[in-house]
Amino acid sequence: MSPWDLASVVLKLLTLLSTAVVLGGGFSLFFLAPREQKMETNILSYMLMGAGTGIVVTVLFFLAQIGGVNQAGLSGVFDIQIGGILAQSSLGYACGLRLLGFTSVFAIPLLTAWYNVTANKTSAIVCVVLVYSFIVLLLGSPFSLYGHVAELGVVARLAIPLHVVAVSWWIGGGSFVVDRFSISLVTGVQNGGR
Amino acid sequence: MKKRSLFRLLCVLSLTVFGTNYSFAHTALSEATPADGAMVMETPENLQLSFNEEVRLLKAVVTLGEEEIEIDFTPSATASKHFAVALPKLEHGRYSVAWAVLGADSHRVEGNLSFMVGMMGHQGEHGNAENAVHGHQTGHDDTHQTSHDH
Repeated sequence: MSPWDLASVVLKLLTLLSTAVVLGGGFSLFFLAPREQKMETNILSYMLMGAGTGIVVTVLFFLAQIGGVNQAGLSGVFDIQIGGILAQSSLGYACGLRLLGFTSVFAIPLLTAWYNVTANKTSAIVCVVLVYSFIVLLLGSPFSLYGHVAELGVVARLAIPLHVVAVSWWIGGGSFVVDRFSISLVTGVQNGGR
Repeated sequence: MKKRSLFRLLCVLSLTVFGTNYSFAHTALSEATPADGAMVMETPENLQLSFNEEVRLLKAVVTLGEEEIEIDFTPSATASKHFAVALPKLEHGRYSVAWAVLGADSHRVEGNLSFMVGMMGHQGEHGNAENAVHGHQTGHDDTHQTSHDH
């Protein structure tokens, strides 16, 4: 395994984790009812951390792909010509979608703040749902755009992003990670019953 | 509860790491002109490479021994199945072509082929330009050269 292959594997793993944090955190947010400010703040911080990490990792992943394709050492990472070619390939589109998806996460805290202050809760929640759905699409679809998956049939190319999203909800919003941030969904539901 | 979650996470991580170790490239060179191992009497106008799927040609290097031949090639972002790279007038000799493409799956695939320009001679596996020029006159020397090479 070359250093570029190793870098790709590590960065793919971090991309998956970042995606899981963002999608799982957003998924958890919808289960907070009635909303508790502290819990909501913690989850939003968690999502923003995932989004920030996701942006950095996506950029590094793209650079690692340039280096791997160029096969010219570390200096080859900054080859503008090869970078331009990769940017116009399916890999480039996938990275672009990911960057847009992770960046869009920064709108979620603004929308939840709007939800907390506005009287028109319905409009606010619809906006949050739409933006979150948009993020799910942007972060899920790249998994079927490049690599060997891109050469599979339509069914597989639809199933794999759905699988990634489902796993993200499980890992990113599951009790293991939630406990790590001292949040308990069970407690939230119990408090909501009061 | 935490041990089970940790075990699940480790399973997912292992699948991610080991599942991405092996890549089976599907991109392949389907045809080349001159073909690999071909012997041509005159310099071909173009080096033509055809692949089994649309690819982006990243590299095409023609060498004569250790010397790189200057050709008019720049990597292109345009994907295609067929590429034609103009060749300058080539001297007699055995030429090697190293190519690399970016496949549809964004994997880099590379390969080599060789062809000979000039008169037929007694060329061994490691024949070079000098042998090609003198091949028809110094067949005995070529054999000797090949023996030395071994």
